[in-house]
Amino acid sequence: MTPKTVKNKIHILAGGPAGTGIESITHSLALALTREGLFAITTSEYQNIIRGGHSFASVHVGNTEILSHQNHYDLMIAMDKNSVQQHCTEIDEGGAIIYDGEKINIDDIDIPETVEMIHVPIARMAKESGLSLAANVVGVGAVFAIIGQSPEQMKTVLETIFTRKGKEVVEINHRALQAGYDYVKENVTHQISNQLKGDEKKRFLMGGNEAIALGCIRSGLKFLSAYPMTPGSTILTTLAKESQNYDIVVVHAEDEISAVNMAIGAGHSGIRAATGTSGGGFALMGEAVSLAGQIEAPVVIFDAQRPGPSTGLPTRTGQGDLRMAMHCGQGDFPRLVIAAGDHQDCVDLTGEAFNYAEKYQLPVIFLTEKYIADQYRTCEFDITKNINIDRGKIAPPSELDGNFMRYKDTPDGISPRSVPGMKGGRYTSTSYEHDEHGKPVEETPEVKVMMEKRWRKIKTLEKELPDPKVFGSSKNKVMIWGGTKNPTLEAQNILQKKGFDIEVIQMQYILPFKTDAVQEILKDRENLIMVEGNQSGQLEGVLTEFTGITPDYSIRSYYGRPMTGEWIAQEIEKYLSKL
Amino acid sequence: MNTERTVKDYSTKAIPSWCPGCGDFGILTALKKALVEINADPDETLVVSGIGCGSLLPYWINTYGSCTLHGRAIPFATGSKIANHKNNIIVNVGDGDGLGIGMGHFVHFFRRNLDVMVICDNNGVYGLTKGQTSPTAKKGTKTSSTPFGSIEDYVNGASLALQMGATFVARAYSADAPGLTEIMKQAMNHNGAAFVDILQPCVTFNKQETYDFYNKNIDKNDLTAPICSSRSEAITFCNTPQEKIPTGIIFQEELPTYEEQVPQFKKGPLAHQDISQIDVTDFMERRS
Repeated sequence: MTPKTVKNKIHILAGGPAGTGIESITHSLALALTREGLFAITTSEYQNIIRGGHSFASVHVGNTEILSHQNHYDLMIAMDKNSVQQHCTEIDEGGAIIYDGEKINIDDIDIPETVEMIHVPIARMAKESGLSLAANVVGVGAVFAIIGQSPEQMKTVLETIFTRKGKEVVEINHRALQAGYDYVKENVTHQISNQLKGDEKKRFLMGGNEAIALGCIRSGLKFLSAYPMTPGSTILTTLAKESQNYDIVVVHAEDEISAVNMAIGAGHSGIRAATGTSGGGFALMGEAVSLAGQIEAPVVIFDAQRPGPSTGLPTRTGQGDLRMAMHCGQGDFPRLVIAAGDHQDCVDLTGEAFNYAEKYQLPVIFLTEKYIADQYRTCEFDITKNINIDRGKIAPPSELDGNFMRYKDTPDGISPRSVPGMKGGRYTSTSYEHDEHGKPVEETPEVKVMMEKRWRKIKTLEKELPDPKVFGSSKNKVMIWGGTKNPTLEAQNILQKKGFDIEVIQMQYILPFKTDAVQEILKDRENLIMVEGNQSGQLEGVLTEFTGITPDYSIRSYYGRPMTGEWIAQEIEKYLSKL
Repeated sequence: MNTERTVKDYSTKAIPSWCPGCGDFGILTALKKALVEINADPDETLVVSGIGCGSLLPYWINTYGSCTLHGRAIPFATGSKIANHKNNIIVNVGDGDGLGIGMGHFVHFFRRNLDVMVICDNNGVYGLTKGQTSPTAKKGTKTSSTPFGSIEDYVNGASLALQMGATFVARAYSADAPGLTEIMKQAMNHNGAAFVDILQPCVTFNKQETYDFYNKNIDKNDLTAPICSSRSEAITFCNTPQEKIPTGIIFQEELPTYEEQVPQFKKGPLAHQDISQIDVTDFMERRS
């Protein structure tokens, strides 16, 4: 068979039961192709089980940065029959499925004629290589042959992965890879022809939570306390692994209430501290968020969202926690709510989160979602330049006389602080309302002073926060937040080819809300479309609350699967073409 | 510089708002005396409390203080200790605070063996909310929250702390000023997690465990050595009903502290470590 078109992007799917190394296939492919100088992203869809069921993961690779995944593929590695059944209709014309014909009988599956079925004796070859578990590596070898890429970089990846298990394991995997590769070269004529050619530039393959960990490390994080909850857990595990390399103390706390209170205690005592969780864990932290607001302690809370309500869909994606981030905790107090749109945001905005937390002495809630948290992406971070670290107002020793006014009423609302251990800086922080010294008060004038002092910080902060990010220029405005960013930018590209232009507005800082800036950006709109991963349109409500603006059209996804650029483009096109 | 400190160095001008005769006065006085005896620098001392009558104590002691949330003094103090492990950190909880809402933190705290003293003002009632039954109240206690007598059996804080690995466990009586001071002094000098259960009459809401009751029913043990020589003996001792309530140092042992086991502290307190330039090349190399 000859391929119809020559591609500069390839989309590969791997499917099988949990425990068969589905994610290892896509991760190792992504890493090898990144080393080759190409760009890759991965996605994974798995059930909340450790063995069995059906998991699938994809890797999307190209000569330039990949913005969005898509739900149809050029090639698939099927590790079981179920995967062939479920995904054979998702293979594009001229595409192929690699399967083990000695293990899987496909006679009773209605496979589209346009799909090439490529038998590779995966299980037998893995066994012959010395390890049945290396079946996925045989499959990877076959992929390299079909997409016409040399397996050499893949060998270096296997070395990276397996060196700690010994030379023999590396050799077994190399044999498995070569066997899969050679089998296809000798027996299969089908090729996915493409123009993929790496530029050999050094880049990094990183998960979203790893990017947050990197942001934390670069920002001088000294303490992380957390309790595992998918998809936030890898913030904890990544930083735990790095803790001794970067002098960070990581505590796996007994619960999320403890985790956040530990982080607040640490932030209050002069170090950069954070906690990471998902929505359910974050829901337990509300009272402590309010404490941080009241005692003006810096703390950063990462919430990697997954769909609720309650336990919801533990391993899927969603954007349902915005309102909780904005409103959790009793009373009115300043807080900052940040939403990262991609891996670059995870690094950069984490750095900003710690600066704002210390400068404004308040809780910062940092939202990501499973789509970003779990996604591996080829990144081009510049790590050579130092980042800006702003520790905020620390009281000079001359002001620390043993009668320190920790909560001094100031024009910008920010009071210089001392931390336990500083000579003459003694004061008592308290969750009760207090005066400028920190002494509890209940009288109206004093309460008013402190409530207004804290509130003033919001105004000061709002002025300092950057405006929303705007991509492109059009009277058709599309407002998004979080991980919908890149798929919407992909939609922008797709729509442009079809003659529709859109402007994408990304809300990175959601509270305090940049009312004036948003109104200015939206001033010349003809259409405003909101794209969100929740049912009620949480950002949409926030927009209307602060600006009075109501959008013309809403695109919402609330079933736990990430939106693709193609889907967003299609939905926007539906609306724009009716006008 | 300031080597000779007196109680005045730890005192504030403000007068505590506790009820006249409250057992908390004795705890505050003894704590200040104990701090004098160990010559603690008020600027390097942090008293962390939760919410409750006794948890107002940080307002009336001239050190750093934090009145946190109900039940959350222990995790807050844990984070604070990790931020600067050279600081002397004292956790002051009540029985409802530490053994009711905060029990999850209480038990896990002793597994870590941080060098922090936890004192529990134990009066058997929730004083600040007007006298409901606390977890340390005996079964059958009648209060506004258990008008027909409590069904639940009581929590034994000392026994629980021992079970969870506390390396110093003592019981004291708030009206025994010399004994309480000496116990707190030893608890603070102890290198590891210390728990002091302080029997403290609530003169307003607890009509059973009064000064009179304790004066008659307390068995004061000598403070020169622990009552029990092994942890298992101490647990049995705490769990065995005694004719009188024993006070004294129940058990003490030296085990590696959390701080000693974390190499990150070797370069000094985290709060003093420079974060202006962090080289992440190594982290990145492992991802390329």
